[in-house]
Amino acid sequence: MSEKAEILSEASTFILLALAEPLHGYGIIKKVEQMSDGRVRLGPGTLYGALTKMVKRGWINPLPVENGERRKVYELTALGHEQLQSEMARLTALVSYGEAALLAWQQGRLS
Amino acid sequence: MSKKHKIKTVFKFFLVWQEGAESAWLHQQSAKGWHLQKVWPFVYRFEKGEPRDLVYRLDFQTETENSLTDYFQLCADAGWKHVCGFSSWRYFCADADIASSAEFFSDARSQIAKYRRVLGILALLALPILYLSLIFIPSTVSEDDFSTPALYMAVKFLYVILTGLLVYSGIAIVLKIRKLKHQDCKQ
Repeated sequence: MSEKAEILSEASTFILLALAEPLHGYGIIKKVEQMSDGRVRLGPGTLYGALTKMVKRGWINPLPVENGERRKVYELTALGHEQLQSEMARLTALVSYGEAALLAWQQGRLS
Repeated sequence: MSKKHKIKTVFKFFLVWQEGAESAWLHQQSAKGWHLQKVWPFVYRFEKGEPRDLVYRLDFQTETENSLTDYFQLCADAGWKHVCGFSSWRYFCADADIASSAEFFSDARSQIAKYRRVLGILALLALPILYLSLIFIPSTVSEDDFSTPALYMAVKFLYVILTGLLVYSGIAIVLKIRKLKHQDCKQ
């Protein structure tokens, strides 16, 4: 809580959103692609870098791997959830400022 | 027809920030049927096969090969095969049609993070050089401290070469990161 939330990249935001249910790496790629209507296709290099960073920061957690399983499944932690919430709050504020500013601009042109 | 296992080994000088040129060269080799098999610093071993349109990408991960199983599996699922690696460098390839729809790195930020990892390792390498600097710059030691003048010259020569290379690499990577940051702004 005390740590100031950082601005997430689009890729990171989508990864955290995808982890509403525990998923393995490729599962995340597929889910993000689906959530963004095919617009965001995460590269494996980009995803792995982001996953390692998020594990280090305690935003996500790899579940214990069963014997012989090569794919790690990740779950969102409480800290990750918090991070996601503050990012959503930031974006919501941005959108409402943006809409108000656009509206004011439009009204200025009309008068 | 005899099925001979044809192999060639090529020396080629690419530095960290020339990755684009290196991947392009590996792509050309594959188009001629020479597929990358193994890499050492500046040495590449290829195996002869059918010509293929393969795209190569490099990543830098400091973990050991054993702890990267999950990573290699993820890449394979996404169509990128782990070919080989040396030290922390990992070489991946994918069919061109897969690569065009799913790039290995999908944003500039993750590439910036990769070069920062390289810089981190470079900084570690700089420590012994820094130690040598303490010896050479204040001239607290002279030739007399070494058993032979030749040894003194050799160490001094090594020092100059390594410092030059390290400073040059550091600057080149910082410039590369800057270029990627500009890309990031445009994205």
